[in-house]
Amino acid sequence: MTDAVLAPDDRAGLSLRWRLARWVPSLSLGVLLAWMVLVPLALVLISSFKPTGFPSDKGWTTENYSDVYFSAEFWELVGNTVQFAFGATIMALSLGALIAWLVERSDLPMKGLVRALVILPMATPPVLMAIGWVMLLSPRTGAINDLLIYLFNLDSAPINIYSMGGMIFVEGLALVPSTFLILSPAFRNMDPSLEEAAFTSGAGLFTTIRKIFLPLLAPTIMAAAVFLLIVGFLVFDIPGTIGMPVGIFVLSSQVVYLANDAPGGLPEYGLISAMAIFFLVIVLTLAWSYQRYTRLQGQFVTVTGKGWRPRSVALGKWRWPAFTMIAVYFLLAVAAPVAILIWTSLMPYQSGVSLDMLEKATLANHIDFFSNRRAVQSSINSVLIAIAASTAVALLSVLVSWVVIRSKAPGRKIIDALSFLPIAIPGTLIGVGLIYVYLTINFIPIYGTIWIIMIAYTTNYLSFGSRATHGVMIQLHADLEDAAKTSGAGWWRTMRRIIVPLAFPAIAAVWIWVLAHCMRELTSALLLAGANNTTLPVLLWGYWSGGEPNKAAAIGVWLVFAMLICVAGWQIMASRSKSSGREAF
Amino acid sequence: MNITQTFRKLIIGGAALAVTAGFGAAGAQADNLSDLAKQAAAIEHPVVWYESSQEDQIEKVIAKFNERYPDVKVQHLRVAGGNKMTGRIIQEIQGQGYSGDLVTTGAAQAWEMNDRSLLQSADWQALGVPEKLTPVDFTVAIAASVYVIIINTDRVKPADEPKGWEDINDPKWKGRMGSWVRAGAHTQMAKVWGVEKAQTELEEYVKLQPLLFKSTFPLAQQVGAGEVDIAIGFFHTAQPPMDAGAPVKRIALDPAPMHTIYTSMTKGARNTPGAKLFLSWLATPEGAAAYEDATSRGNHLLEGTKTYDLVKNAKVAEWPAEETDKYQETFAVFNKILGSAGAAK
Repeated sequence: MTDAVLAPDDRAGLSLRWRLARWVPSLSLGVLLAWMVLVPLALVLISSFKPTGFPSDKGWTTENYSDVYFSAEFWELVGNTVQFAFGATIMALSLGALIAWLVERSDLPMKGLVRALVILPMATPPVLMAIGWVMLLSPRTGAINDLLIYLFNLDSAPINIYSMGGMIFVEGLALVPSTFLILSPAFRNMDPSLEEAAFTSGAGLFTTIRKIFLPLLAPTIMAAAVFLLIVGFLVFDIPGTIGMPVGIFVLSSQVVYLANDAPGGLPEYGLISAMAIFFLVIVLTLAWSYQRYTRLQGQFVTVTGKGWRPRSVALGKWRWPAFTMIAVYFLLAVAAPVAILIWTSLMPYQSGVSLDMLEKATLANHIDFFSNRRAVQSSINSVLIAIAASTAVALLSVLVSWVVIRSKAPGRKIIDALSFLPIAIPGTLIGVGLIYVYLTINFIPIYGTIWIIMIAYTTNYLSFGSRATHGVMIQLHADLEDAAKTSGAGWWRTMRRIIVPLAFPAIAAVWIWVLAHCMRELTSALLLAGANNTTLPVLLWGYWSGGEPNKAAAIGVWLVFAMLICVAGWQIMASRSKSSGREAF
Repeated sequence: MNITQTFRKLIIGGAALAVTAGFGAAGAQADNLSDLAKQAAAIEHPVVWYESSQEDQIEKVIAKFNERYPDVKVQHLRVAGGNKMTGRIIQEIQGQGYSGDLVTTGAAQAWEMNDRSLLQSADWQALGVPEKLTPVDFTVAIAASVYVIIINTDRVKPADEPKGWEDINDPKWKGRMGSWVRAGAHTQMAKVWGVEKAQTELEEYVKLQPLLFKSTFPLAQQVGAGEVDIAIGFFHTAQPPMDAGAPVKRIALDPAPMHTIYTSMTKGARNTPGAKLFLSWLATPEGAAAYEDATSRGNHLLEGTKTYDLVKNAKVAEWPAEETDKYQETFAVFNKILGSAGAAK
């Protein structure tokens, strides 16, 4: 049927329907995201203007802002935080991008193993990782320092973990898996003909990286950088364990102080909210820069309708040095912290590594974990929450990316901002916001259940998910969808048969990343914990903060083991998928 | 009847009257508690107790309570830190109208909640709670966190062990000292020493460049691990590493800074009789012993507890609850001074 045979009224009706249909994706997603993001955000805003910080309390004030922004201490903290966040981001990006390229685009040996192991550090709760590094590199009791002193007959410890450098090093290592998971699908989706053309033209490896890879992957690298920077601004465990002992404080230290130890007897939610506005401004600026940078999407398209298979670059004489470099990374990021975690879990009390202590090794902490009924319930809760939240984030991320990158739907920039904003809201404030929302809305009885935690995690991790899927979605050429439409496929079929399979590496990466982070996330879970929704990290925190770090380490060991199983399953699925001819992973 | 006989009769009569009155009071208390137990058992909701100790520990306290009152259900909910606990109660009462029945916090939080009319008053003495435990009618002192010196016995020789405050700022501890990142001990000492002297002592302490730890249990663990040789920490936080065999020893301080721990009944309580009963029981020698055995935090005001013995000969350093504002002001200033410590500065 064409316009030529339609009556004017029909044409008007069709036009209106078409116009309405254009709004459907952004409207439906917008409502959902507004509920998830704007409601807690509104509460943060209200809280920042309340004298007590409690949104339902009486009175309004701007004092929270003047107290925060006119304080020299705040700007000193900003200085430290910027140094820390940039340092960790640069380290994580460099290492993560290199490993992702080696795994996805080169003939590196044992790639499957590397791919599986590279993300293992994500399963280690950051506080335990930080304690592990203190036990390795502390000037007084660090095992590596002791070894170096012994080997080289030194007078004092050569490495001091208690420093800005130490903080950056450990945070950088901790962020490599996230970088890898964001960049890896984008590397995989690159059309090899581009690099082949470069090589044919006589360009060397580094020229190809500089002139082909970096420009084409710029949106994904930028998305990763933005994400890592914000994480660096908000993270507390590593600066709190490594920097605080020697007086290096960052913004998150202040958030923790205001939430837990403020002298007034109440958490200073007003000041925390006023500080959160600072994070929001940064996030919005970064999101705006990202949108401006990627507005000419065509230049980043690497996946077209042409058939191709990924090509591996032959590393030649660099093959084994590259593998050795990755082995060193594993040693530092996986083997050393996990070994310390296992050591701590086998000790009756926290102690350095020594032969004397080996005699005291015991399985008591592990036996306690398996015989503790709360541990079983917490494990079940954690697994349910993690699966539900990671699935929700993966689905929402694809939809958000499709609307923002692929569709021409009005309001898509707002959708993009909404999906990215939660990263600026500290977990404590998301928890506080959700408590208000679901205590007020009695007809959704989820307060005190695992579902309120699942919503908190979904909100929290949507930023990561959407950044990761944006990077891949931007690589898909519009012709792919146009071809599907021309062949008569509807939106759902196009998504199912074209978009989702091509974006699947990123979707799977998001799923795994969110799953791992949900299994270890603490801040909002602690605030939302009730009698029946305790999670494993809350149990772990209970042991750690209650003076039993060895029991906490035992939980950490089993978390890493569970993650290993998940990753192994992921790899088995990936290899089956490849052998059946689908490049889904 | 001579004067002697008359006097003897008066004494005997008076004694009989006193005994009767005493038994009467005790009997009335027993009746009260027994009535409360019946009422509490008839209510569907358990007594929900917001408290910060580990679940395993509080299970033992509740089990002991249930030996005496088997029909009254008590449910413990571990909530992280007094400030967040108070925040949660405010939100829950504002949002749904009910919250935990009992809440265990420091003085600042209890008084803050009372200022917001979130707590229920009761005649605690009528329920057998000693007057000294309940200076006001909206809360009951059930324990205290007492600061002590914690040392690593492998790294500090007996001859070098500090005896008290006079040895804390010795330069020999430079680089060997650990501290909670909050200046709670020195702030409480300001009540005894005066703010000026306490501040001078704190500034000297900062020169030792103590390693600062974000909470007190990990601080005690780090002493056990040898990361620091000595620290000012809470008595109860040293118990887990000591129980596990770590080379850790506690040395009492005089004056002894401490934070009294209060338990209050909220207006969001759904089992008020049960809450009253349980809190009254916590203030008995039996309840206090059960709580102290489980958490190592005892009631310094109740004779017979280990904490009472720990501080009975020492001068207690603590700002009274009615001077909470002064405490908070000093705490904020001292936290900044302590925050300037650290080798990185």
